[in-house]
Amino acid sequence: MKFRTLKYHIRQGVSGILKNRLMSLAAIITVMACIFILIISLCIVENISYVINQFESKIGVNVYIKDSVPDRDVSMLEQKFKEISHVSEVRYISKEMALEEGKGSLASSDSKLWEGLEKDNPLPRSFVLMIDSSENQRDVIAAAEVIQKSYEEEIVSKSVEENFKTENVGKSENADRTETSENTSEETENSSISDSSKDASGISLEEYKKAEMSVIGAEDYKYKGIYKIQASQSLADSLSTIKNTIRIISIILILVMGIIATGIIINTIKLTVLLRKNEISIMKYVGATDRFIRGPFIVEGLLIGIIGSVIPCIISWISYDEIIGAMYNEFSLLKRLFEFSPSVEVFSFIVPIAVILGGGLGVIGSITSVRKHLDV
Amino acid sequence: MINLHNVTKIYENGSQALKNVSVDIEKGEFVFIVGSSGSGKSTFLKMLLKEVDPTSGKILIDGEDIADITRKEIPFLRRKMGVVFQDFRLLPSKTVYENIAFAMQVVEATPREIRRNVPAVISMVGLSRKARAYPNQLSGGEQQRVALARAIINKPPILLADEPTGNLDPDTAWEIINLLKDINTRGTTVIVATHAKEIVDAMQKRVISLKKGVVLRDVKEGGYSDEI
Ligand SMILES: Nc1ncnc2c1ncn2[C@@H]1O[C@H](COP(=O)(O)OP(=O)(O)OP(=O)(O)O)[C@@H](O)[C@H]1O
Ligand SMILES: [Mg+2]
Repeated sequence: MKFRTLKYHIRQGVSGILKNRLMSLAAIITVMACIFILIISLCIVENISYVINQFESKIGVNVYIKDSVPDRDVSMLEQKFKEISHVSEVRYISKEMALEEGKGSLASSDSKLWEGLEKDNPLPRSFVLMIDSSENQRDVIAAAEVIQKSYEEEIVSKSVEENFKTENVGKSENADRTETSENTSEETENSSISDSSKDASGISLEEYKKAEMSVIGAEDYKYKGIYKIQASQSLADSLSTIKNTIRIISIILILVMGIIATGIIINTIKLTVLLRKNEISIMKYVGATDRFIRGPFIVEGLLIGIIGSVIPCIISWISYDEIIGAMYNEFSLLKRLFEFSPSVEVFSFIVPIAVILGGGLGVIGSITSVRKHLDV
Repeated sequence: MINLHNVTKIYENGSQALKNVSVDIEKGEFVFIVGSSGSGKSTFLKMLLKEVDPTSGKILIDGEDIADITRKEIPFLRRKMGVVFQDFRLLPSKTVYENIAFAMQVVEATPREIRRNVPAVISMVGLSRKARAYPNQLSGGEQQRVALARAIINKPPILLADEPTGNLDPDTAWEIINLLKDINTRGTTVIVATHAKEIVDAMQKRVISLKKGVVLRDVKEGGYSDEI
């Protein structure tokens, strides 16, 4: 298309709006009404999912560690938990932190009770595995259980190894010397590890392990390291159900509003086109191509759609902040429970949808309305 | 230039507008198409514009069968033909100048060409002093001159006029016919569908008379209904 033709279309489209002020106004108001409803619905939807995300960020998988686990192993476990996929963060809660938290949540006035607890803290160390999205909770729990199991096996195999060593040392000592002190036994223990995997009686460490394990079984060592993995499965499940429902609702909403708005816009633009039926037929007689005839109407529809969607965007953006502010003022407890989505976040998502939908509907409306009159 | 071979048109409702019409019109001719109301004159012109398609038969324009022209190419066929109607069909919101310039904008002429050609055509139809007027400020004859100016602004080789004097008094009608004659002498093929007996008789041009869709008579230089 030639540049001057584009210029002509824009000029004609703008003057078309100005000439048919009443019709254009009606069309713009129609678009505005539809876009308004859409924006309000999307605001609600967006806030619900925003609040859900807040709850979601609070749900995590708690992993409680036995006090007997050495600090070295605790940091090894932390590293392993961090490597689980869908775990966004691993928070370590020390015994002291757990106590503090307990104090805070119970708000008990009985300070003596707490004093006593501080002396001999019964609360375990724990990890909170934060999950990126509630539907992944099951996977994370499963992965944590795998780590739990392998760590337990490690503990078992270590203690078996220890037994093996002490037994071994005992045998060789008995054979060669008379009773020895604890100190010397430790020395020899070290040397026996370093230079041979086979003991004097000819049984290898692996063979010994196998034999031992079959006798004691892993069960005896269960929960020696991580004694509990805990998470609110039902909360996570219902959150992900709500999230999916909302996702579906918002898609349906956009579609339904889109269809309704298209219908109304087509009808409104049809009227403006009808007013210019004469002009279209004259254009056809002087040899205008369909594209050329459509041009100004597309510009008109686009402008109507964009004006009709930008205005509600501006109005609702301004009033959004006002309404949220008023809600916080009125219900001061609200802010403790959850926060509303900030307007920038909501509208950076809504504005493009609204403007594209508005402009797109305007163009579709014009093309559909003009098409009928092009057959001359 | 224009050739019709056994053209028949039966509308969807069954009314037969043209029956086996065969006519050849040469470049530069001035042709009247006459006949009583409903004889098929407008249908004849509409088929040249490919506004309606013949039920059977063949229409050639510049040797090209217009049945082969696709929907997209129709605008380019129409650029070969200027059209005027009994009811002028001007845009009421545009001035005389704008109504004529509009036809050039539609075919994507440059602003320079528009500025050069439009005043020339306006002066040719004798409306220089009314260039800024709106159609409702003009008489019927003046409006038809604007329509004529618009029809010829893109210099089409063919000019079609469907009862161009139907709404005009005899004096004004003659002014329009004389303009058509001028346009014809500059080389444009002119086809006029009309009821105006006096004009046809006086002009002594080629006359094709239709009756109920059949070509009754086709004379080189004649009147509205010579023998009868
Ligand atoms: N769009 C149409 N649909 C159905 N029938 C039509 C249509 N246009 C014309 N006709 C019929 O075709 C016949 C010829 O019509 P046409 O308009 O060509 O006549 P005309 O010679 O131009 O008449 P007039 O002098 O009144 O303008 C008439 O019987 C008319 O009723
Ligand atoms: Mg007619």
